[in-house]
Amino acid sequence: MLLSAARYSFANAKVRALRSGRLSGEDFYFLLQAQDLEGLLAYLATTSYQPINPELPLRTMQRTLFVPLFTQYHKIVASLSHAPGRRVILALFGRFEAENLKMLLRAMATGLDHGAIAPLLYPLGALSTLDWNRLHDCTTPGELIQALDGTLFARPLAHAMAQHEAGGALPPLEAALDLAVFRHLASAVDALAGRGDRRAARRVLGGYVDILNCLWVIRLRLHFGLSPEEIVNYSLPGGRELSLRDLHMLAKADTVARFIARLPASLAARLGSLQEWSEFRPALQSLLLRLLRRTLASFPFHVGVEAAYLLEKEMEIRAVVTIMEAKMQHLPPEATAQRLPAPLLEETAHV
Amino acid sequence: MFKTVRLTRVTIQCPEDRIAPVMTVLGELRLLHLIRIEETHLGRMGFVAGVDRELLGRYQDLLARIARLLDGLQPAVPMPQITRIPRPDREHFRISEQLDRLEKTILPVLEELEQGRQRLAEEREVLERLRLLEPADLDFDRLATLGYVTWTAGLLPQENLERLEESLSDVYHVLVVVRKKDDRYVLVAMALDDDREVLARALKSSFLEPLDLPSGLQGPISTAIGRLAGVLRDLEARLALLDRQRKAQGEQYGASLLEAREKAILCSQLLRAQEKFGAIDHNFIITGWIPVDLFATLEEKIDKATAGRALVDQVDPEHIREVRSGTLKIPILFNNPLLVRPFEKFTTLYGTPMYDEVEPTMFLALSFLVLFGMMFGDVGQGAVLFAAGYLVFRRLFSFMDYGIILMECGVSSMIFGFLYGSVFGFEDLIPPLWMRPMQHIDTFMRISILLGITIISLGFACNVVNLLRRKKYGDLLSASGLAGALFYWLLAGLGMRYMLSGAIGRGEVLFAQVATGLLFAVMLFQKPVRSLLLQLRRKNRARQLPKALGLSLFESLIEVGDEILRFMANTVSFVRVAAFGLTHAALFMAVFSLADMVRSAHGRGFSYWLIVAAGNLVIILLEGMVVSIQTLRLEYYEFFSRFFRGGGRPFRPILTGSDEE
Repeated sequence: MLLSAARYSFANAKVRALRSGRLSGEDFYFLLQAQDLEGLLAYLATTSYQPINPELPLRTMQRTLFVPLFTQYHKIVASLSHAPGRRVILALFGRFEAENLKMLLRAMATGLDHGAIAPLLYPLGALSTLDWNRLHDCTTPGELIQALDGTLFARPLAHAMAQHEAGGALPPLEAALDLAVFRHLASAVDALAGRGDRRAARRVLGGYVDILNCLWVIRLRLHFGLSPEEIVNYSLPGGRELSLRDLHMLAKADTVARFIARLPASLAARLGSLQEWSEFRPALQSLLLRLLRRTLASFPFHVGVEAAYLLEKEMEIRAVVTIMEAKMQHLPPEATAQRLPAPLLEETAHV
Repeated sequence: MFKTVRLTRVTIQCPEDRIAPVMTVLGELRLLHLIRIEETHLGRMGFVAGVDRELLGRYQDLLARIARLLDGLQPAVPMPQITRIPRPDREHFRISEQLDRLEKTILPVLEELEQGRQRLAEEREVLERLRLLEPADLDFDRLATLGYVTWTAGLLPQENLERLEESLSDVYHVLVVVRKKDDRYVLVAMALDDDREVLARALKSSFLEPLDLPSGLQGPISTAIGRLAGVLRDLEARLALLDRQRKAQGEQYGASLLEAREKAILCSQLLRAQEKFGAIDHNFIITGWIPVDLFATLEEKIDKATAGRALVDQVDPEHIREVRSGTLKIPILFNNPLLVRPFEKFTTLYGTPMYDEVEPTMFLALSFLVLFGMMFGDVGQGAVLFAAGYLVFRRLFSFMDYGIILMECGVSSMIFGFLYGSVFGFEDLIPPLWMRPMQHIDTFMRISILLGITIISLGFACNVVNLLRRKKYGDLLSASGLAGALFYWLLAGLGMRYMLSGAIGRGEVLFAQVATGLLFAVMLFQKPVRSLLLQLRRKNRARQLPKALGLSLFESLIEVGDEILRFMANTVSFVRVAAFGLTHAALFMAVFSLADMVRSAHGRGFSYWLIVAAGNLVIILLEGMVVSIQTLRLEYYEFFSRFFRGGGRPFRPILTGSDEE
């Protein structure tokens, strides 16, 4: 325990300091109540978020919101003296690199130039070691794979090229990127030296992957019409409670009730009241957020704390993005609130 | 030699129907630098001839056809010399007819070869795939009889096997891992034919790369592999035969194809040159620069080729208004002996001299070789440089000039090697004909300075000649002109006198004081006085004259001071010649100290000679490069900067051959 404390005390203190800037339930209340997008931005500027120019396009504003997240990734990585722990956080950060690579692939497929897709990319900052200038110059997936040589993305992309070339579609390449990054995350967790460290990381990140897999199964089944055998192959590795068998069973569920019935008991008990597929997202996100907050409130000296904080921050930003989009569509605050993870709104309000 | 070739401007007028023979004559003479007609009055009035695009297009087609044959044949025959310049309006008929004939013979072989190679590559890929599946011991006959089962073979990323198993868990299936290849499994997947779609979806989503096999494979896989290997052997034998035929055809037709290509290129260049011609009604006007000596020949040949229907006119450059006003530059045609010609590259690297300037390549070549030899004097290393230069000269055609320079540097190095008595750093093999640099450091430095004074003086002389040629007599009084040269020579002479005798007489000092004082005054006042005279001549007696005069005097003082400092700095800069000469000797000392340490431990064995050889190699590469750079630096900064104006235009002959095509 002393060793863990020595490894993580500085990073933990850093996390506590950074966490003091999170949005409270009161903040979300005012954000939801804002008359319009301009009002939302005006309120947001009074919080720990930097002022955002309301003249910017919505996509650019949304991406700008992520800047503090990547700064905090950088700070937390710098504060971690423990190399395997740092690797876990960097692997978590790799998800955003994968997202940007997907965007480049889509730009290639649609013939968009660098200027057109730049606002759609996450502003990753100095933590990303990929040569983005070179990647931007690539005009085909083949060139992109060459430019990624030596990174965790090259091999899975190369293996997916046969499917891409056969069908000419991007999903195999995009799925390959996701699988690569989550496989890397799982191996980074497995490589953690301390048993307690590893267990805590598995609890947080495994729980995160389980929630993602549930959401993916629903999305791939309902929105993309994929078959169960395809869904199993596209599911993310590194889950904690949901095995491949469970995911296969979930993929075959054709009603909400059956889906819930096939979930592990711990999840089924908490989701039993759901009636519609659309209710799953906020419900599952709420479960995840509670898991993250439990982790942040428990024994502090393990990498799970840093991972939990960064995921919590990410969820907070995504919630702000959801509210921004709702403001653009002039949705009432109540309808918007239903789309958000409940714990975000439950924090003590001081009004 | 110190002047470029004297050129004259020719203008040829000929009727449209006689342009082809005229162009042939111009091509044969080669030494015509065309003037773009737009640069003349006629061109500015719009009398510009166009290029015969249709004819040019025909030559482009012919060149493409020739390139296809040459690419296929890859003939290893020498480039033919074109002695007769073809007529562009006729030659394409000849080349086309020749190509029709050759294509009938060559193309069938090339096409079969190409198809055969493609098939060979495909069959090899199939063989490779079959070999991957060989351990599975498949029998294609039995597989073909399967009515209720479907199967697929492919490469599966290892980490996806578990998911694939799970995704197929609802259907009857078999997954056979045949072997590992890199980070993937070679896999055979089977399922019921009714589940064909499920199997396909599962394999696709698990990133299986199918191993496509051709239909028609029969029997056990080992038999199929044997059969395919036999097919490949037959195919390779056939390709070898075709390749021999190709080589034979290359030897037989290569020379004529290369000649045809060269002719087509020449014709294209002649046709493209037409865009520089002028045209009035049905007459062409060609204007350009030609060596004065060639004019009579040109006139005679054109007269003969056009049966007297062309007018050939000549104008000396000094009578051309555009030349006098500077809007038209006379091109530079170098005129140096064979061994000096490669150094023209160094001159043009600095700049192209103007027509009325001293052409400094000869000075540059001589001083470069002397400076290089002094700094890199060794018989053995010089011989190595010579051999390397010879190798470049013989083997690398496009770097032939550098080969010659390397050979000449080698000879210079050898000469100084004999003077210093050094062979690969051994100083006991031959006696020094002059001195050993390390034992006469003082003398070596004095000689370096003397050499520097000579080269700088040469720079002054060149500048004086340039000023005289440009009729800028007033500038002779400046610090960079004759006055500056006299000032420098006076001080240099005094310095030399002191270095040689160790003392200077009182009379000599007095003379020097008076003479330098006078020269300094001339250099100082020449500019203000000249500007004053100029203003007076313009009848511009403004009241602010004294102020302008004072400013001009101050400027002049700064300029003269700067120039005198440059004299000193440039002269002292030549001490580096001695310094690098001594460094060369010092490096040898280091190498031999190391070798002697080895000798005292192990005797004069292999290690000793290895160190001597490696040391020499390092010195040749490192010191050779440093010395070359330093020599070039001295040439450019201490010599060229004294007189070289540059900004000239290189002579571009009408035909350049295939090099520039």
